[in-house]
Amino acid sequence: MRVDDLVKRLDLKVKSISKAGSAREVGGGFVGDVLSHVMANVRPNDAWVTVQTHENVVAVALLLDVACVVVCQRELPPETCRRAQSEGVALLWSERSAFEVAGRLYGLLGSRPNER
Amino acid sequence: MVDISLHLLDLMQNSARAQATRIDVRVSEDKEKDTLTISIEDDGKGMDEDEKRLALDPFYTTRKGKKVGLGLPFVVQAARMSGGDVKIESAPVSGTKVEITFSLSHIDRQPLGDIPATLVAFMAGNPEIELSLRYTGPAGVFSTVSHRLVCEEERETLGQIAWLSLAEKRLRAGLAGAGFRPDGGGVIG
Repeated sequence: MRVDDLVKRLDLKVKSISKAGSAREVGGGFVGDVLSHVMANVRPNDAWVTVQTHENVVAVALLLDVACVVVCQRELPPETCRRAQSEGVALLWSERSAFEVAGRLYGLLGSRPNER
Repeated sequence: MVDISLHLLDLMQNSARAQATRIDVRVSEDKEKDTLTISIEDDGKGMDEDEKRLALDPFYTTRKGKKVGLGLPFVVQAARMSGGDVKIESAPVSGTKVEITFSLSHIDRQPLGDIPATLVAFMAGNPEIELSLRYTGPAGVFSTVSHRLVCEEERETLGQIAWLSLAEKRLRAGLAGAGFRPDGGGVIG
């Protein structure tokens, strides 16, 4: 599933996306808010679901090369959105809780290939 | 970073990379003012105004081959999440002081973590750096310096593993005497 499909299916608001970013294939999903934990466990091409809104989220997303970040419920500071735009990171937002978003995401993608 | 001791380790490593020969660490818990203050002061090469500003930018790093530099930005995030902040004083040549404040009881304040183990880990990796600690806690003050904590003679006779475990034991005892205990972070109520 592509990032732009995910936006439609999960009814997400787009805060930042590039043309290449929209067409990117989402390989799996990950939920986490403790950034060091996310850095240790998220995989490239994952859709990362979080409630963190600090611009550090964009740095972690870039470093780990995730397909997109889905921020749930909490308002995103303009600085974080600007950063995502300048770094070309797909930053999406949902008014739904992380539980609801993760549930729907799992319904769409299922388990990651080598997850137990 | 799941606890404050890991931020501390990260900042001490910054000092080491800045060629510090001395690092002063101060940890102070003040129940009345509801603050937890950590400061790390070094005599390293310091930063000018531009570098100081850039040090807080997650997309800035001085290390080659890296896209991001997350040490200080993560600290700032952790401090602000708990109603605190980070202050940096620095000048070329004279060194750098980073002071982090947290609201002690704030629900999102990270746990202190294992401060003695963190300091000993740093001492093991940086034996040439003189590390001093001053802890102010609910039961008093404990201060020490790495070179006094385990003296030269003990280091020579004991060998590395043994002197490090002795250092850790003495640090734990001193800190406990001043009322330090690992905590679970901020609390409700």
